[in-house]
Amino acid sequence: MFSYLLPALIPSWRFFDYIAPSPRIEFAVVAAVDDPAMRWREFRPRPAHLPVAAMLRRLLWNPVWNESLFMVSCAEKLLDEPSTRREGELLARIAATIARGETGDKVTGSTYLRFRIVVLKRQGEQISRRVGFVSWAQLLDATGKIGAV
Amino acid sequence: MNLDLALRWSEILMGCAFLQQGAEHLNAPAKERWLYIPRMVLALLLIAGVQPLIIEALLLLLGVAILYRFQGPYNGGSDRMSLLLLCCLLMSHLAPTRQWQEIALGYLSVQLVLSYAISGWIKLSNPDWRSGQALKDVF
Repeated sequence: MFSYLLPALIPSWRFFDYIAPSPRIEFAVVAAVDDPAMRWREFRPRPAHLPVAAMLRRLLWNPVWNESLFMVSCAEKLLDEPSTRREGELLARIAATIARGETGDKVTGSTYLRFRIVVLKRQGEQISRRVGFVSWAQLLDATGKIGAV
Repeated sequence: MNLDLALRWSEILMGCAFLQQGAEHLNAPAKERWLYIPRMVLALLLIAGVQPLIIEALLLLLGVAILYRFQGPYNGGSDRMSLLLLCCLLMSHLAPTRQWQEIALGYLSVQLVLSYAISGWIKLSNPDWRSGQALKDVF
């Protein structure tokens, strides 16, 4: 309990004093666990353009973005310390967005989900990409329920 | 503004923040939702001024349960500041004298100022933050 509370009671407010390599979550929906044609896509890519009204609305109400920030923080922790709980958390949240139709994927009888964490690091003008983690394949059904393979 | 009024306003605004945070989780899976619905009820009671000591103690217990559920804060610094605010308000109710009450709220005020001053200074002193490049790198 205290390990969770102490950082809040005695905080260090050094947000982003060092710009660490940034993790990006990508996912792939495939028909078989060992499908060689894995088509990775960025999870919730940023919109190319956002109207001013939407920007103002999102200042007050943006649960999807807050969830995405939580998932990035989960991905950072997963890279530091692999954990099946965090891996399951990310798979469940991506599966829920697929079940809601957010990603445009059709879920059939045999559909599997994987995600990977790509670490982006900028050195001058160059941005390097490194795959830091690949999840297990997760069986999906159309209701968003999931079962480990 | 006197100390009692500052305390009351802090409780009301914190209650509003908890209501908004809770509303974000109303469409979440059941286990997650059932952490936030009681929090919203407690937040309403806090805004109404009902038994603030007991309500804040219950909110703190729920806050720890939420930290455990997400293995850390869900909303990063915002959740940490909410917990700090909650602990300091609770301490001010438990404080045996007026002076200890002032110390509890004084600690909160110092941390609030530091949170903006330190993170603001880091961003002013780093050219990548000033140019906006860091935002692209982080997000």
